[in-house]
Amino acid sequence: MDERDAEARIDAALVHRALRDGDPRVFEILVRRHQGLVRAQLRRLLGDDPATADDLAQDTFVLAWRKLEQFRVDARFGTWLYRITYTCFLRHLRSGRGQALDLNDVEDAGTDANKPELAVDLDAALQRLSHNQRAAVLYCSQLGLSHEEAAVVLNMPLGSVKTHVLRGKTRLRQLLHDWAPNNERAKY
Amino acid sequence: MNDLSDQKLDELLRQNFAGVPDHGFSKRVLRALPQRPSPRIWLLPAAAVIGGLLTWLALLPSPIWQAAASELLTRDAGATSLMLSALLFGVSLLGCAWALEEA
Repeated sequence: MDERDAEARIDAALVHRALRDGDPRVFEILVRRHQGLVRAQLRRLLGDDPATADDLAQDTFVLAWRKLEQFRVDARFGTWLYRITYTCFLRHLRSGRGQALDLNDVEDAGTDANKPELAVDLDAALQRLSHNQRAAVLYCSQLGLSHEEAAVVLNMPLGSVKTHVLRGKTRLRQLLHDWAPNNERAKY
Repeated sequence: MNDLSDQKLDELLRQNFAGVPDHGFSKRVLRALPQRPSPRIWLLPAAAVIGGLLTWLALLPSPIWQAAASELLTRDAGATSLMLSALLFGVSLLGCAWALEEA
């Protein structure tokens, strides 16, 4: 059994206890186990707006608490939670409170002499991807979900997820290359 | 153009993604959690009784009751009483299913 399976079993046991006892303190353990990645993915999706990301993360966990009995034990709690996270994110965007990412904000990122770090370039490059590409890259490459799991989270056909990942990565390579023409990053 | 291999890009993306430290976030969520509604177990028997009553009311004008009663009095359970019992059972079952869905 790999580590992810073991983690999934612990999550399932915690969900079972939370449902049986109705005890929020058991659910708090689940929150502690998953808050880091939920908040990080929302920051990524929102373009690093930590306050809004944390508000949405709180909404995500409250919704998960309300809908806990809908969680099926044969699924991974993480995948189920990420689906709620992405739903909250989309709801936020549709409510009009969410700002569409302004590409002009990052237009000059590659030429900014104060941001020489590759990580900063990568952040800026990620912001320049389309919504779907960024989400697909986030869930598949950064969070390590399989394409099938990402398709569930994003509520997208499997083929679309694969296409978005492929195009997203191609675009990232292009952007990172464009920003390093003289090529400190050739080692990559 | 592609001096960044797929594997290296994945590695870079993973390195670039880290979880956020808690810093009191879990406590904040705990405070925001609403009470879980307690399961409404009374719904099940209530639905069975209501289902039975509705069937009885619907069939009240019908002579089927008299036929069933006379069958029972003569201790000869015939088609009418069996059908009536099945109907009562079926409607009660539907009521229970609804109650389970609601609960």
